[in-house]
Amino acid sequence: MVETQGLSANMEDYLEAIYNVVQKNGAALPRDIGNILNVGRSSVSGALKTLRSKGLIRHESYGVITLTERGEVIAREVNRRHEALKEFFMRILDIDEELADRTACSMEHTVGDKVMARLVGFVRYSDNCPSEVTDWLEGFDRFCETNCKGDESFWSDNSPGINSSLDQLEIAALEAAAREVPGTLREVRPGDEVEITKVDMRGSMLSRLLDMGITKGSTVKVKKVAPLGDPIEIRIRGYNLTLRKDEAGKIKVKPL
Amino acid sequence: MAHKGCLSDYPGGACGKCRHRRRSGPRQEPLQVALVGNPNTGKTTLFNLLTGSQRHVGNYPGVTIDKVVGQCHTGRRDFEITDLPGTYSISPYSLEEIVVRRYLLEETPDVVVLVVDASNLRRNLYLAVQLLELGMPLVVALNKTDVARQSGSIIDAALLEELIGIPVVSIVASTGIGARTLLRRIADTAESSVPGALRKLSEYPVVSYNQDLEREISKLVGELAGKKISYFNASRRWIAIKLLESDQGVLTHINDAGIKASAEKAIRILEDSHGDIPESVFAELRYKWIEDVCRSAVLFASEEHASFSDKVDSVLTNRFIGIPIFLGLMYLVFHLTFSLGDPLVGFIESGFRHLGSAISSFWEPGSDSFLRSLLVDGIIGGVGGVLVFLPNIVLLFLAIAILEESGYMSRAAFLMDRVMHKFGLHGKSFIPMLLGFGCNVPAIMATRVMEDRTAQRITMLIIPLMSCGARLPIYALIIPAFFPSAWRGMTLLSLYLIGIVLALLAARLLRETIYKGDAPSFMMELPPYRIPSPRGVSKQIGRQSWYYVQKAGTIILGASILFWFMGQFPGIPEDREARFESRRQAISLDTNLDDEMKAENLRQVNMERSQAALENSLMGKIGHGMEIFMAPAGFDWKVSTALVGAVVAKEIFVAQLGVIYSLGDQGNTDENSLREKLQAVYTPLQAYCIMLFCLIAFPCVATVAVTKRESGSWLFAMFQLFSLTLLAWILTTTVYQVGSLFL
Repeated sequence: MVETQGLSANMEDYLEAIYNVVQKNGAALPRDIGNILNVGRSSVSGALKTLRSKGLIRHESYGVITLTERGEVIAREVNRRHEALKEFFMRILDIDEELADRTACSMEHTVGDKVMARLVGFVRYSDNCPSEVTDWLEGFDRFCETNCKGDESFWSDNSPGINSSLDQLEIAALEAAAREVPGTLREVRPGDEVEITKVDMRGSMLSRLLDMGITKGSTVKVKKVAPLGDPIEIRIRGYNLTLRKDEAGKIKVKPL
Repeated sequence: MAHKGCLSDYPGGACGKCRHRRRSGPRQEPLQVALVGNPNTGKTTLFNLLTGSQRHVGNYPGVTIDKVVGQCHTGRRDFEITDLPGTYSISPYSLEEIVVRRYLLEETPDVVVLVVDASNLRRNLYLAVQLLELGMPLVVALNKTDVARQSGSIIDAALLEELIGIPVVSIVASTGIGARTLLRRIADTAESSVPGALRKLSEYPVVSYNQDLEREISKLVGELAGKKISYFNASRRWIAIKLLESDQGVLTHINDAGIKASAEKAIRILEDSHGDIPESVFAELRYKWIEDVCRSAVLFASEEHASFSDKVDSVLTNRFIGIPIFLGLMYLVFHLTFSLGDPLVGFIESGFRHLGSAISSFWEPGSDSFLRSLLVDGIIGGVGGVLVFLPNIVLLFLAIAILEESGYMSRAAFLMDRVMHKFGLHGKSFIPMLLGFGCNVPAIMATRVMEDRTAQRITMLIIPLMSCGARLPIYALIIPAFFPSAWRGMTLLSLYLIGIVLALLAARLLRETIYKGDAPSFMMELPPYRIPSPRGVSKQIGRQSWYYVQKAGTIILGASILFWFMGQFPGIPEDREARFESRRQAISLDTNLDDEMKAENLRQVNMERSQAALENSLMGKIGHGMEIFMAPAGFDWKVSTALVGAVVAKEIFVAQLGVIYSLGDQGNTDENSLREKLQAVYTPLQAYCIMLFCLIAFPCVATVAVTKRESGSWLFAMFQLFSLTLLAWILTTTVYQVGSLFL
């Protein structure tokens, strides 16, 4: 399995969307990705920033995005799962394409390799042994028509755990998102860019920071941390400044 | 400019109808021009360009910042240009900022020239906004336009001028481009504004703040007008804004409780409505204004373009090799300073020796002339002893100037700050402390580059604990006499380490006691790397070296004479003198001795006489007097007397000890025989205590003088002197007393 750890489901979706657009057009624009995933411009640029910091995508000139080699490997893997799941849903479970697509989209991030292998095996098996399996599948369809009319209730009655697992997934996603959103400048990783939301200080220290251009709404890039781990170097308003982590810890930031 | 009907060019004198002055003529008052700007903008380069070598260095009252004034002339006007210290703002927090602000408010220059680094326009313009709000007649000198162009941004100076409403002149200070235009615009500005007073222009807002802020500003302006409160020539709008910003300078000046209460109320209201204190909001809006201006006036900026500096930094402040490179560079600085400097030191040393013997030759050999002794032993010995280090010091200054000018100094501070911060110091303390191992004098001068004054003062206080080169002769004399060869290296190392540990602990202690109130901060610009200009470097070295020589010529000369005097007077009593004389005569008349033996015996008598003279002198008496205090540390009067002499320069201790043990005077001390004498008198514990005391106690005269100069206060220099001496005494006594129990 390709190492996709550290990427949230959300990020995998972005990667996959970029992959699909790149496959079709050769390159992607943030606008295309927003349209596919149906999200706003700011979310797209935030996600792109994260992906870029992980070295999965490249920003070319004119805002064009392409995948790095690593990004492409991960995206292709996610896409392969998506296609396999979708095929299983449509051909075996007889689910319509739209729903199959949507479901595959959310399952592709969580289904393990073993389950994937079995699913793909099942589809192949049904291809190779048409007579018995087709009969068996037809029987299954008939069973569904009679026994599982209200699909949702049939499912939830038999497996009450689904909602809580979904909740857990959501919590995990939120936690992952929270990990990516630093609260203060101190926690921002080198290479990342953030926006200042508040300078939480008083007195001469505050005046100093304000004079140097560290004000609400300005964009800061953390360039590096000193070798011994303390002062950090930032870029703000077109110049480089260093400050200690103590001071950086009092500067509240949010992702761009 | 000349208006219709103005006769200002009329050869008889100034125009009678208007304030316009005569365009040329010898009696016109020079225009007072102040140069302000951020550090690293080329402000001083511009100053040097305009004024050439005509400059006068003075002091601002009460602070140690140099006030540099120079003249400059064009066919039209004379200019008197003051180079104000580089600052990022005129908030009254750092010493430089206070100096600049006070100068602008109190001296009211005719024109203020703001030097702006075009390659760093946005932050530089913040000072422009502040000065405009203050209502200064301002001209912007847009410097380093060539650098900006290289990094991909072209600034439309004409558009910038239109947008901010004040003259903007593009210059390249390093080559002189634009200087003429600048002077013309300065004169234009001066002549179009009321001379000698701040324009009250800033009643008209430079930056229009949002409704809430403007409402509170005008309320305060109304109240200020009603109560007729003023602050120098500043506009009421400016005072109101500063009150809302809780500006300490204005708050301490205004005594009206009512206005303060209103300001506080306004601050609370604004804080509630904005979720942030007004000071932040003002700064935010000023910067927004600047960003808007720059968006229009800067034609093309490529932010993402990885600059030359970034590439250099990826090596020099690299996570793994950054610190090794730094330490390597420091080693190189030391190595070159001393390997290149020492031959020159030897050269100067022999020069002084020749001078000494040339002067001695005016007297007959063996003469007891006081004048000869004063000239040769006192003045040439004392001043020469300090001047011989000049080559080392010039080289150290060269290294510092290159590190500073190239921009590496800030990186060194960036690398070392973590360690230094732990002990209450600043990243920039490291290099001065390191230099202290060479010589404390340039080390203390090197603390000048520190903007953080508290950290600078602490660094100055602890630098004498860095065992300088002049202390090495003391260790070199004593260690081989008392310690087995296997232990010698360790003993020497222990002294250096004790110095370092004490310095760091003392720094920590000072930060937590005397300097507790000052919030330590580490905000430092990392300027782009640049090739140091030979002119700038040589000017800096020239100035500092000359200063060192001046010190040698004044304070050190005075101290040398004083200590020489203390070593000579009141001299040997008549009867003893007569006894020495009769012995001499007996030797020269003794027919049993050949000439060689006679000379040998005479030398012996002379040495005994020197010893007696020193013992009887003021210095010897002080040494005797000190014995009572020094006995707990294991010192007798002989060591104490030598210590008094070491105040002039540490290495004199060895020579003094030689005299006291009557082994001949300065210059021909036979170290081995002195070691034997010392071995007979002292224990190794006492010997170690002597070295420990020499390490810590009283910095030499040159160090005290330079500390006084850099701190601007005798009190501070005396505090350094006495606290170190006290520390030395306590520590040495403890070591001696505890050691005596075990050994």
